[in-house]
Amino acid sequence: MSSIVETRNLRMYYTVRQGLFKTVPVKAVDGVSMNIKAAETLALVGESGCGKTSLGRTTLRLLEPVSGELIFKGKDITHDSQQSLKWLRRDAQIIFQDPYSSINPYMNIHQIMEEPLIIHKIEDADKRTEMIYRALEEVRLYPVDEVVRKYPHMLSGGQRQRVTFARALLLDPTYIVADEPVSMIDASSRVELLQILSNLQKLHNLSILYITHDISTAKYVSNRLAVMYVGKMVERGDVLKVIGKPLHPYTQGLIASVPDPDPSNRLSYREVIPGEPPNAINPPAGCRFHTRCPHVMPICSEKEPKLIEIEQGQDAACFLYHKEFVEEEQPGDKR
Amino acid sequence: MVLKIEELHLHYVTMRGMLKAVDGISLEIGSGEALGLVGESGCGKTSMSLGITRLLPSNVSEYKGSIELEGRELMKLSKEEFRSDINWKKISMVFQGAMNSLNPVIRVGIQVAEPLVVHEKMRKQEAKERVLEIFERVGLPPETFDRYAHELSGGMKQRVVIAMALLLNPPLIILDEPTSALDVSIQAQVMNLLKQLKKERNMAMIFITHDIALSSDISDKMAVMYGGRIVEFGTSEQVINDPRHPYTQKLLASTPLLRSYNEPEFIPGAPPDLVSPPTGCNYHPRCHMVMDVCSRKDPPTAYPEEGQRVECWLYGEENE
Repeated sequence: MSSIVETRNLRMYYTVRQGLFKTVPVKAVDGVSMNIKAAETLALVGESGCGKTSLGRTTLRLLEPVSGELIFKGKDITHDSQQSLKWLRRDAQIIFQDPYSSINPYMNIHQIMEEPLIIHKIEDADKRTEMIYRALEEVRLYPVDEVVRKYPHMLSGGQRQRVTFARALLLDPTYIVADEPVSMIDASSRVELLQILSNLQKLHNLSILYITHDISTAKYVSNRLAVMYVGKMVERGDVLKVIGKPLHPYTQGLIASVPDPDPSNRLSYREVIPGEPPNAINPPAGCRFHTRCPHVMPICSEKEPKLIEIEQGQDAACFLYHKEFVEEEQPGDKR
Repeated sequence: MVLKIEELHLHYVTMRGMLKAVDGISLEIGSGEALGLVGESGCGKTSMSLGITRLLPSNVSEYKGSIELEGRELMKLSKEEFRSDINWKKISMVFQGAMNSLNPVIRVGIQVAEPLVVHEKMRKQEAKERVLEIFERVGLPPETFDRYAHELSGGMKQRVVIAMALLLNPPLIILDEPTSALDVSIQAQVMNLLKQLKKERNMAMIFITHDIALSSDISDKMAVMYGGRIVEFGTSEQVINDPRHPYTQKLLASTPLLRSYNEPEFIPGAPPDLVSPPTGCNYHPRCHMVMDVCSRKDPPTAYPEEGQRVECWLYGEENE
C-alpha cells in the first residue's frame, strides 16, 4: 500500500528567549521518520509536550520543518512555498481539540460550512448547499435544515465537534489530522464521535493522524499506534500488538498507568514511571527516557537507539532489543 | 460514620430560571472510606462539593438538607463557626486546577504554613517543620519549601495542594478532579500517593471525577450522579460488576477498555438541561429501558442488595 504522508528525519524546532538577547531551540520534533498509508489511521500517543501536536501540524506545513523531508502523495513538499500549497489546504484538513474555539460564534452553521467552499471557488450556490447538507448528514446532525440555521451556542459540545468534522470533510480531503478530537467531549458521547470518525474514514478512504494522550481511545479507532517521548518516536506498530505486548519501557509504563474500571484496582498500587518528563530545551543525552527507565544500561546515556523493527510489524527504539544507534547529526543540518 | 448527608438541595438562580444543580442527595461515608462520585459535566458533582464545604456562589436560591460530620449537624452552624471550626480542620478540599491558584509571588512553603501561623498560632519554626514533614509525606523534596509556584511542574504543584489539604489532619478530604490537568504517568503517581495517604491516615475521601475507570482506582464506594441526583450508590464491586441503573450500565459500556476487548457503546442524546429538566426520571429521554411510567413520575428508590441503592422504575414496580 502506498503512503499518503511520509516524513524522513523530520525536525521542527521552536525558539524561546532565554534572558534578554539569547534564544534557544526547543526541539519539539527531533528526527521523526514515519508514514501513513492510504485509508489508514495512525494514532500518535504521548504526554503533553512530547511533540505530537507539533509533528501533526508540521505534516500539514502549518509549522515549518527545520530539516528533513515531508512527502505528500509521493511529492516532496518540504520546501514548497505556502502560495503553491493551496491544493494541500484542500486535500489535507485538521480537526482541533476545542469545538468552542474552533468555530466562529457569530456565523450560523451554514455560513461556517460555506466559507471554505467559497475560498476554494465552488461558485454555484446550489451546489454549495448540496455539499453542506451531504456533509452534515454524514456526521448525523439531523434535521439538517434546522441545524444549518443554528448558531454554535445552540449546539452541545459533541454537536459542535460534529460540525468541525463535517467542515473538514466538505472538500473531500485524503488526509486529516485529528488533534485530540474527543478529549473535551463527555464520556457518554465520546464513543459516538469516534464511531462517526471511523465511518467517515471508511466512506471516504481517509488517512487519519489521530493525536491523543488517551491510549484507550487510540486502541478503538486506529490501525497502527506510534508513541512519542520528548520529540522522538520510541515505538510504533500494529495497535493491538503494541497495547498487548509493549516493547519500549516507556510504552510499558504508559499502559500500566491507565486504569480500566475494576474495583480491585484500589487494593494495590499501580506501577508507575518515576520522575517527570525532561525539558525539551535540554533533553538527556542518548536515549531520552534513560533518566526514568527501570532497565537503564550504561549505553543508554551515551548513544541514541535507532527505531527498528523488533517483531513483525512492531518497531522500538531501545537497546534492550538491539544495539543499533543513530549516527551523530550531519554537519549539513541547519541549526 | 464520618459524613452523613440527607436530602441535600442546592439550587441556583440563573437568567433562564431556577437551576437545580443538587436536587435531594443522600449518602454516607465511613471513616477511612473513599467515595467515588462519578458523573458527566453539568451533573452537579462539583456543586455538591461546594454544598458540603459551604463555598456557595452568590446566586444560590435554595440550600437545605442535613449534613452531619462526625455526629455534628453542619447546617446549624453559623458562617463564622463553619469557617473557623470546619474548613481545613474537619473538611479540606483539593479543587480541579487548584494548583493554578497558588500565589505566584509567595514561596510555596510559606503559603502552606500560613494557616498554622495564623489560625493555630504556631511559631514560625515549628510551622516550617510541620510543613516539611507533610512535604516528605507527599513526596516533595525539602527544597520545595523555598520555591515559587512557577518553578514547579504541574505534578509537584498538585502535591503542594494535597499537602495543604492534609496539614490540619482533617477526617474528610474532598478531591474534585485532582488529576485531570496532569499527564497519565503523573496521574498514576498522584493516585498511588492518595492510596498511601488513605491507608496511613485512615482518612475519608470524596473523589470526584468524570472517569469511572480512574474512580475505581481509589473508591471503596461509588455514587453515580445524573441530572442533580445520585441514581446509583453502592460498593465499587456492586456498581462496577453489577450495575443496576441503565445509566450506570451504559456509562460502563461506553468506556473503551485497554486490557480486554469491548465494542464501546454510546448514550444517544445529551445530559438534561437542569433549568427545565424532563418530567419524571431525568434519564428517561436517553434510557434504553424506558417505560411508560418513567416520563410521568419520579422514580422510586430501590435497594436490590445490602448497601446498594438505585433510583429507577425497573426495580420499583410495587410502588406503582
